[in-house]
Amino acid sequence: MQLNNATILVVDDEPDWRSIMSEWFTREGSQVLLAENGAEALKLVRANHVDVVVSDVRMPVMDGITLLKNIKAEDGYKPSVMFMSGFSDIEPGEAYDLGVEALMAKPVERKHLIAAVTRVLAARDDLWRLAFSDKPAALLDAVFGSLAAALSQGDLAFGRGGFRIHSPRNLREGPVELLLDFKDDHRKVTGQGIIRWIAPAEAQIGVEITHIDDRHRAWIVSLTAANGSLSFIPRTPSFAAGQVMKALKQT
Amino acid sequence: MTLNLVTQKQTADSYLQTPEMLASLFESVPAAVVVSNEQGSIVRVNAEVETLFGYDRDELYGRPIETLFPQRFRQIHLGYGHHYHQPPRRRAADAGLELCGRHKEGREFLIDVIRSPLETQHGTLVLSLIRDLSEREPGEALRFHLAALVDSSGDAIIGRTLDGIITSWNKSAERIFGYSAQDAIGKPICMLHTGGREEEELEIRGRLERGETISNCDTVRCRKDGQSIEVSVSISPIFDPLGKLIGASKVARDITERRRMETELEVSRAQAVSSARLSALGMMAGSIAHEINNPIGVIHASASDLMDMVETGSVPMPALQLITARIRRTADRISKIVKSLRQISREGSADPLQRSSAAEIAEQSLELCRERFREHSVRLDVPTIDTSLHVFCREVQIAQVLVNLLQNAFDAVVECAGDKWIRLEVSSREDSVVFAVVDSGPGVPLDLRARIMDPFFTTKPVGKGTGLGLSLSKSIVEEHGGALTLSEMENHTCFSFSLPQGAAKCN
Repeated sequence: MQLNNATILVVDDEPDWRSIMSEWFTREGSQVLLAENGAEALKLVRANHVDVVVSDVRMPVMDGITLLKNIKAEDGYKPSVMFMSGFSDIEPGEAYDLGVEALMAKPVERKHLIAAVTRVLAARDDLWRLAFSDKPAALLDAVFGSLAAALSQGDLAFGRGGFRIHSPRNLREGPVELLLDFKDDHRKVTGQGIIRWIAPAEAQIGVEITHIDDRHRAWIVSLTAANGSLSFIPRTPSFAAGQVMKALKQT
Repeated sequence: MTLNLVTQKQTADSYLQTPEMLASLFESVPAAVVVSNEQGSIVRVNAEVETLFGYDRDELYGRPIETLFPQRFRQIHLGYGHHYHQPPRRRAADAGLELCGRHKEGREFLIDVIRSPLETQHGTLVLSLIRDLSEREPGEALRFHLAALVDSSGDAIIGRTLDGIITSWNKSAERIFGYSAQDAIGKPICMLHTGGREEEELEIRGRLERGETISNCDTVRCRKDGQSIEVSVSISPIFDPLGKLIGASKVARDITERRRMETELEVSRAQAVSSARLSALGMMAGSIAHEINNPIGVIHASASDLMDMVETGSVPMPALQLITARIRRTADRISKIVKSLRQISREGSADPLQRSSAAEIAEQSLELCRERFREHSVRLDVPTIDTSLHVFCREVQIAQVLVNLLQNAFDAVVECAGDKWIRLEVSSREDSVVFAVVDSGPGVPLDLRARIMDPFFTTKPVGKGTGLGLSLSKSIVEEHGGALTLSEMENHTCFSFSLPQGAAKCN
């Protein structure tokens, strides 16, 4: 979906911010809805078709996290929610696990915001076709016996926009080159992503996928789409893996 | 008659010369007599020794004299015995060396030993006259007991003459100052004084001469190894039975450890106070960062809108006006917060007392809380404050107290269901201005009211409160001549304090 036929709901308790956002999205041709807290936003989501919710985290009456949980509880996937926070009110790991599809901090560049919302609206298959123009310097590689084994052992778990991987690699948040070798499946997946969080103590890394090679893109899309959880990138090992396994068995 | 007497005397004299007579004399001495040789081996004992110590004499001959004393005294005896094998001109017998004897069966008892050297053609012998004190009058045992009492004291107990010569020195004196009794007795007490404290001795002497007692005076003394040591000293004059001043007793307690603990306590208290301030600020920091970052976001976005206009070459006047006004307004908001923050994060305790506007102090404090309250849907109710009200205070400190009270009120109401509100009232009463913070919370339980202002008392979960907020606030208010009190206002918790009103400026 394109921005010019999408409906964006901006949730923020700051009137000036709402009017700026409204102006920016209107300029892109989007329909814009405004709410000053989570409770108002929830009413609008229930009453209207909304494609993306761009919400502040700290707000009176109902905060962004509660709004997100309510939206996910009602209809898992839609609308997509992205957080635009004035302060580090939520850990990235937790936010992506709860299903947030993008996490941005104020102040924000208009073009970055527009790009992020565009990505959220895009279909995975289209989105993951294009690689970064600059090849990332960092490499995240892993060799697995099979996908099924990796999932059941908790070494890998897919969310709807990325995966959590057990890796001893010492990497930082940011763009990364991907090389996932599933030996028994004879699949060597190459691609790119952005490391969204790292948990060094547990040797866990959370990656948002941005590109997958042509041969394996459909396969990875099916794995992420099969994910019954609401996570964008799962944080906790157990539950997402189980659901993917169930979905895999059904196909 | 005379002849008879002479004959008798002669007979007695000749009898006295006989070895039998000397032997029986030796046996019948009403004290235990032990003769030892230069090696300290027992060579002869009398019957009393057998009775007193329970040994047969044959068992003792050839054995070291230390056999008759408990293990712990042996060292002393060896040292003492040695003394008699020094050149023979040191003949003086030392009397009254009270000790402990050890019976063959292990029982110990008090004895008194008098020794004296005996020159013979076979070398020097030592004659030890041992008396059993346990059977004696209680006075002597008491004396021994008192001596032991002095020795077992944990404090150094030192006897001195008026001239400052050390006359006695107990075990703790040895431990504390490092000098043995032998080292110290006879030396001037000044050897314990560190450089620059010599004049203390003059003062001590003056006071002793006036019959005064010096009690628990903390000072510094010098150990044998040159190290300084902190001691608490008490010195009392000693008078002879005729009331003549003959010297003084000095009791010195090692207070190094006490001092260390006091210092530690002071440091940790200061740290706690400073971390309480930091934690109060830390709790506000999140809200404040958010509060500042939001307007920065607005300014940033507005600026980028202006740049877009410039790039496209189309700058419509109304849009320009709208955006610049927005930037200005938002920047003002930030500077207001920063100003409040700067005020409140200062220490402020050294500020001079100044006539300050009560309304301004309240506004500064509220500025830092407003955002947090709003985010958590806590209504803030501030009845209009009379702008003519002034107080005499250190503005920063009073603002800190208000923030603390508002913060406490917030913590009390935030988890409550229903209508949450906090009211800040500022009113005048006679010569003072009363600040009151009332909240809609459940109130302070009766059993906690007495303790709630104690340092470190907190009902908040770990990490949420240090328990110092109220006690610090209380001390700040008290330093201002006011009082911080907890009361109830229409069933609601109310913390209030009053400050003296700053008199209106005279024109």
